[in-house]
Amino acid sequence: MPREVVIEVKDLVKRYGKMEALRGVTFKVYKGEIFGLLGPNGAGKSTLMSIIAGIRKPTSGEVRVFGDNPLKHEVKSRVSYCPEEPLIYTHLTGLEHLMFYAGLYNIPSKEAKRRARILLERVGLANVGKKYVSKYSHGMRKRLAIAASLINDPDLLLLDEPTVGLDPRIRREIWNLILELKRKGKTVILATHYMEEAEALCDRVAIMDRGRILALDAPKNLKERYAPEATLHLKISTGLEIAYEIIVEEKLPEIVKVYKGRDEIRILTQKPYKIIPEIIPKITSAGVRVSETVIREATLEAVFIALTGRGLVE
Amino acid sequence: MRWRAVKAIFIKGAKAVIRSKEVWAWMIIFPVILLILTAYVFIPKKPPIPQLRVGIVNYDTPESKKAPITGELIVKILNTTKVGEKKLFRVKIYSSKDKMLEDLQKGSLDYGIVIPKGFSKNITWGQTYMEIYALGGEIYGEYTSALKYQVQGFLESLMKGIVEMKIRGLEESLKNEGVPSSEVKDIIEYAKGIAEPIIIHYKEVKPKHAETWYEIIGFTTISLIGMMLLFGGFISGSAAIVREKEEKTIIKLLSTPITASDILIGTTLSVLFEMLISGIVIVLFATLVLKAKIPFNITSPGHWMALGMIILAGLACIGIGLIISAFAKDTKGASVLGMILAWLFAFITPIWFPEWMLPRPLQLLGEIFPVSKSIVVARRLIMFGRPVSEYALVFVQLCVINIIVYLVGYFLCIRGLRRWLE
Repeated sequence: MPREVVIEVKDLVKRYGKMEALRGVTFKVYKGEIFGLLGPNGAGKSTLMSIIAGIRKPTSGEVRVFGDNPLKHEVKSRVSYCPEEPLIYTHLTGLEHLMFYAGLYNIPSKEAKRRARILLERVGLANVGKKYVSKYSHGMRKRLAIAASLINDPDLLLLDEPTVGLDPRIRREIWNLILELKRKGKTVILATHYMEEAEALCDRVAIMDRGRILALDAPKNLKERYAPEATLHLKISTGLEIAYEIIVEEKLPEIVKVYKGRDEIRILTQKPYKIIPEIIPKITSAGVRVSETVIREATLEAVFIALTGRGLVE
Repeated sequence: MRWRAVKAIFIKGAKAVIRSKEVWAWMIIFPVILLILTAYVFIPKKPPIPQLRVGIVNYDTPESKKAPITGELIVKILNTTKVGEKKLFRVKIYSSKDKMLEDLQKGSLDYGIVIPKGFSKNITWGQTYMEIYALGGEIYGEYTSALKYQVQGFLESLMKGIVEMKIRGLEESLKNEGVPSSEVKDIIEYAKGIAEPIIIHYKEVKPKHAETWYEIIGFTTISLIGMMLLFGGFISGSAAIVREKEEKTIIKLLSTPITASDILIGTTLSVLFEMLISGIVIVLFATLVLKAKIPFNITSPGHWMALGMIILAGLACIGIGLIISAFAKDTKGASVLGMILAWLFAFITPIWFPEWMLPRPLQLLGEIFPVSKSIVVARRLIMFGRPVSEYALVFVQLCVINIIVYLVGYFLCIRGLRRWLE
């Protein structure tokens, strides 16, 4: 049985004046999926989200949400968008804030109050629901913004960097909330630049950079295809150029690729423990100072590095 | 349009009004202070009569002690004239005119009077003159013109008294000369005619409902409501949408199934609510605390027409606020521009000042500007009891113009929002 398509994006282009934010993006999202958009800041994730949410119009290309134009009210009623910044009204209380958004979704007052109370409880803000949002911490505001985006019980939830700036405990709570939504059959689009978040939550991930999708698949498949190797990170405090030249000229068969970062060298290799004793003495004897050596198993970041030559956060 | 969404935006805006200290300061505290100042400083119940500082140089040396009117008598009259318990003049005698003029120039005197030599002789037998020097110049403005009326009034009464005294003297002389009494009567009547050919009875007729201090404060209350429409509409109207853009909350709003129109209508209603609260506080304070008289009659169609015009003027002010918001880059810019324009229009059109106090070009501006025209007509209908028929056509015109001004702001704002999102 074919899976139900919730979002269909075809050759999507978005320009802001001369700046091209999206350059021909194409993909599909299926019902019940947690679909990740992974990429650094400026990759075009937020622009893509805002077009799917029916806020901005594309310059060209096509976007269909639930088989229809996302600008239509019938579509917007089934979708909810939670922007990166918690866009909230500080003169309202937490409860009033949720009631306000319920009004925008045409939810009757009694039902709105019921839902608002449940959501406040769910995001751990029930005891501060009657306090002004101006008194809330950043984490509380973020949780309130997520609660506000659930007030209409959306079939499609667009979460833009939902855990940025949150402590690990709250981050874990939000992850649980997202997984709970998936269990209820909801579709979630998750834009993030945290690879561990994408790996932990997403069924499929689109890796974005500079307005394009570079790769799209399940995290496991992406790693197998683009980064089967581990990454050896050498943090260089002196002699970055010299170290890079020595490693490249060495042409060790175990080394798949060498990348030069701002203050580190990343080496893709299947045998990191074998190459360390071979290259470290050589570069240190040439005057290079290595301040840190880290081996990382293949991650989505490694996939990103393999695809772009840059890290997710640089 | 979704009414539940509009209601939600209205309630959010209304809560912002109620909970904002800035709005309370501008829309409630400021007009109350202005009303108090108006009532007790600008239009006091009993205007104080200023005591004039008069310098006198008396060169008169009466030849006979029997001379009825002398320079000395004038000084005595000036020294003893009282209004109630208060002396009208504070007299200072100078020996030379130059010294007196020097003090006048320094601003130590308001007036200087020079009584010439031979004053008593000439006034007894014919005509004399008196030099009066008044403190003046642009710098003193209204102050000197107020004093001028006071001095002129005093001098007119003084001259009238002198005329009466001289005519009585003439009558006595004629009788002593043995002139027949019928002729004496004719001569005296003739002399009175020469002295004062026309006796003018001047009486002030004040407008209905704007006669007493309480009614004048009532008149001012309507003006103040007009002023608050400008502040509410221009400042809050312009800042509301810009703030949503600046704080990016508009992004979240537009991801929900509402239209830009829903946002604007909800916002308009919340600014109208702000104006309503301000208006109610002003009227309650004026009528309950200051005991201002506003003869609003719920059975009078004219008074309801006036109320309608005030509401529509508020709508036009919001429209102008929306026009500002379509061009303003941030909340601060919108508020500052709104405030400057509100102050300007409050004083250059007949909103705060009555139309007759403004120069002709500004009166014409007031005729064109629909907000001031609405306030002027509302004041005339409520305070002066003008008939409805006189303003029926104007009412229709003002309704149309005020709504057009609002719609211009509305569409400009929607266009601005669309552009911002593209």
